[in-house]
Amino acid sequence: MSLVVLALPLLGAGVVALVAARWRSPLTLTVLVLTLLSGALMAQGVGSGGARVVTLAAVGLPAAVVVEDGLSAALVLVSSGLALATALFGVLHRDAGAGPPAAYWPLSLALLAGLHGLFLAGDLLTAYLWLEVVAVAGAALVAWRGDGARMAAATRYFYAELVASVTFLAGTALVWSATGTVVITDLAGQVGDSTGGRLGLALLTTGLLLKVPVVPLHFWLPAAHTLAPSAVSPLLSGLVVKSAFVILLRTWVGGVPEVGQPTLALLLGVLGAVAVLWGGLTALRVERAKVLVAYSTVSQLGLLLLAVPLAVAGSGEAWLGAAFHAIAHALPKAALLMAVALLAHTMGGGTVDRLTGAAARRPVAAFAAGLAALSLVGLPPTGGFVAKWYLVVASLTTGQWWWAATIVAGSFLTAAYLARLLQRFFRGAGRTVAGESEPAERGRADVVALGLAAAGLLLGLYPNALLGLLDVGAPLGVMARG
Amino acid sequence: MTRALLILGGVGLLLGVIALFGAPGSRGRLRGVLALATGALLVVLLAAPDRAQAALTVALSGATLAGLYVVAQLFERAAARKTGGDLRLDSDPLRRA
Repeated sequence: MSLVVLALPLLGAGVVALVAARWRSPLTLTVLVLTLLSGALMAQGVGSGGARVVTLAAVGLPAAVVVEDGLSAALVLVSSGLALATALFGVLHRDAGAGPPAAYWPLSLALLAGLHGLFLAGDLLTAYLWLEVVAVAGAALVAWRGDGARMAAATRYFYAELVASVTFLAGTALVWSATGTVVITDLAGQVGDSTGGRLGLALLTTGLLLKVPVVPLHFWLPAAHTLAPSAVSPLLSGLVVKSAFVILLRTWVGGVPEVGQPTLALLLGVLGAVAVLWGGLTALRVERAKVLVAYSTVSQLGLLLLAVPLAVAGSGEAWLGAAFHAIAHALPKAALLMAVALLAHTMGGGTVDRLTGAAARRPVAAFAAGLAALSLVGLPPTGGFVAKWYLVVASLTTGQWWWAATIVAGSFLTAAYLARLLQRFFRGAGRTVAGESEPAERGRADVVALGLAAAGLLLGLYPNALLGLLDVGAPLGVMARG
Repeated sequence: MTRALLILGGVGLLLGVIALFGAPGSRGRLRGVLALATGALLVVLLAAPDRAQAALTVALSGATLAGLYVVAQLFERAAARKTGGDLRLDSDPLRRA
């Protein structure tokens, strides 16, 4: 089934690029529905039959490995669902009177194929190839039909991705030279004291940190995520930034935890903590709502890195917390970005001040933003709470309480900057509406945002199915231990 | 010899990054991409554990890097059209918006 979830969007992208423009959106939606169904079947298969590793051997090349485990199945399922929701949003919402350009549909399918490739990749060389697909498709989606500012943001994003890819490739080559393999799980115990192997790990990790990105390598993210079209930002902030992290997690926790223990893992944790605090503090100060959400992404990505020193120390809860957070963050973050786009469209501008009283004009979108905020802060009973709970438990059980303190501080900061935004939405009467030219479509796009925000809540109300799935094939099984 | 070439590859990578983000113009950035790609290919070629795998892996990586170079050219052309040719990677695009 893993090959189906890869092939469907990849072939779909090629076909959609060739058909007439008016057929592109319906065909894309059809492909996305089929991919979602395939993802559900894959998750069901992994849940009932356990994890599976498929090795594809090609003469003259290192073996390509596809990992069908709980993490990849859950991410494939959620990314398919989120891509479908974002495409629906693109159909229903019109950016300043124009829908997504015709190129959006094949590019978004190519991006989804690249993401699925990364979620399923069990070796570094395959991961490199899929990283390229994601980089090109992502940057092109930001750039397409953009003005000078958006083009500048897209070019900076593309070059950052290019440097990261090349660094990752060079690192992969050095690791391959030192160990004789690029299969992540086969690296265990192979790197040892080899200078080349360690240098390779350092290079490929740097490449991945630039792609995630982590402070201070995040310079490209705020502009790219802010200036991207409203049907692209949810994909970038919800999914794309997680794909490099999955490779990072598989490498350091499933591959070479002994190399990271304790100094390198600690360094990754410190970078994560800096991101949590610095991203949150910056989000408090910015004027534009979408920039605020972009810095929120920088902050929330830091939480993922906090899990590395905890998981390397042997905490299964850290693996579960990080994997759960990757998903629990994606849904409400996409919902918040959609809601902000709708409210800014209605209010005729996207600064925090301009959005004063926006809830009176678009109550459903404002409510969706509020619901999403609950999950991003990590309040019970949302999915964000479950993820942070596991990370805090991991911190305390491994005796590394300082990460728990960072998580709590990050949650307070998140509450502060999102409260600043929400209090504007719900304060005063709505301003004069500018650009409200499509009232018939307005409500349906709002419902998509609300649905994603509600999904973030449901993850917290019924977390066991996802937790059970994420534990299948995890290097540090928790649920199996009881 | 191998170590010296590996160091050369590393220097290529470093110079590529510096040229990419330090160069004021499109031509300088594209040269940076070339330096990066060459450095990476040199590392891949010398690091592959056996010759047969090295040849195919370099071919595969070379093809993807060539693809990235072409995409970089497309980005540069579009950026030159939209920004009037004054794109700098060290300035924040949000200031333009």
